[in-house]
Amino acid sequence: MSTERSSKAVVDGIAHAGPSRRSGKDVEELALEAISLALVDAQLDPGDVQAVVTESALCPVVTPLDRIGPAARLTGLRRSAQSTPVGAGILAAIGTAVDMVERGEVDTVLTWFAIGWGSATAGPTEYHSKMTAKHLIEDPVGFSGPPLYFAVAAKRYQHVYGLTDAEMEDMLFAITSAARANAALNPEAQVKQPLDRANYANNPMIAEPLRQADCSLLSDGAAALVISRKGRIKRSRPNVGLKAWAYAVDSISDADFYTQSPWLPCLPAAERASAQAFAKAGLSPSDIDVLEIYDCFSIAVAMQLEAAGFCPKGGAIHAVANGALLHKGTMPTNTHGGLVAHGYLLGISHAIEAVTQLRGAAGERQVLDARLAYVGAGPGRQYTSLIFERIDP
Amino acid sequence: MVGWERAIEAGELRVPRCDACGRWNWYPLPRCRSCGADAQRWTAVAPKGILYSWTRVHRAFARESVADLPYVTGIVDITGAPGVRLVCLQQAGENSPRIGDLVRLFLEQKPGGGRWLFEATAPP
Repeated sequence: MSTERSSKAVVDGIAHAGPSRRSGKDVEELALEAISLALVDAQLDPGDVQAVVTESALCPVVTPLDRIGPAARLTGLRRSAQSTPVGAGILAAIGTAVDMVERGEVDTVLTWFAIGWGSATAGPTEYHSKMTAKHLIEDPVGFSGPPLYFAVAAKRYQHVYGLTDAEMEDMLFAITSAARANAALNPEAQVKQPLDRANYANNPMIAEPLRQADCSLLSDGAAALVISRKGRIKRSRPNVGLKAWAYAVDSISDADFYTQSPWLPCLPAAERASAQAFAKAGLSPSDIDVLEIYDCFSIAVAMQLEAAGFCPKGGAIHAVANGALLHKGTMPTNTHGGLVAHGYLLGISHAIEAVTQLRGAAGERQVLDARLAYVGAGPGRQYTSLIFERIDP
Repeated sequence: MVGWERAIEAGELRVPRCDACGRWNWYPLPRCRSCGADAQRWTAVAPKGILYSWTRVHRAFARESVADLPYVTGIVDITGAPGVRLVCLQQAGENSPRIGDLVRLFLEQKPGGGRWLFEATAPP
């Protein structure tokens, strides 16, 4: 079911402030820096922004629009919306922004995400521990913190697909070392040292089979994207449009997912969102030139590659082998370094990297002739899949 | 979660069960996931099950220490309550259990609450 739809909206501005482990700056300041730079990239004035769409759980708390709006001089707002929590929500905000422009409701939409978890390192664990069941039942038995959720998923993955401990280590090392090698070519990455097998074997274990290197970094930073009507100004650089996107959610609460999900190590929401996005785009995973996958933990990349159809279920160990995920590999993935090496901005950097790659502006880590990019984030009860396309000038 | 606290005081493993359709609901929600009924009762279930997954934790993220590092924590499918999984700390320390092992659960009473420990017995 190929579609002839061409993008009427383009991602016209992208920018980062950071990431870094400790910025010494207020989170609002980081958000304002990123917003300002993204508007410069889009050649727009703050007053041109007609709508804001953001993630819904963290963004409104740390960078509320009632303060960011006036501080960024967003004087022309006519619409404001929030999507859904965290990674899936950051990507869904981009999709919703594109929809608003393509429906002709507004000409220019701004989205951003900013976080200070590099300075306030208890952030991720506290985000989860606020849920009553986790606080009352999971914390007393030491089942605390996101690494454990994916550690038990990895053990279950091994059991279901019959991987030995050594095979699991091979797979996780392939995923993590590729992200680190990609990050080594990215001047913006927080961690630029490549990871060899001996270093990996000596890397501190956090929760088996996940080592520190398999876990997302902690970061201060912000990023922003500006979506506007295509053809607003003439560009010499390629434009980047959103070919298709989809969001899916399972009927299970956030507190339940990592212990009560009937489906682990499968991610049904990721399977549906990806299938819907590919169907809408009239594309299949083999058409994709570059992948940016929410890598909160290395095992999560394996689970999502399978859910999105980039390899068969249980087949990630073969799909990621032989440097496949390197920027010059057969399936370039997390070319900026991802959450484990670039920085933990919860997925917005993955979207920005996809746009950077499709613009051909990724420098040493550029994937040759990248025309289609897949971005996916969520990996839990909910998921968002984006498929970006390069539009030649 | 008063029901959970009362169950700990009573020394029992209890899980909310729907009065209307009999389904177990875990973690608790204000309505039954299956039929939507609001009448649920914290119902005792035998403290045994099958190990669903586990991990050996080398670095703790909780604010308070719960066990000497490294420790093993796991998820147990409760045999008498289909669809219910309980997270538990392994009683025997850091030895590797096996997914699919039959496990017995033990309640450890502590000041200000309690927690469930598991001990692997044998594969089913």
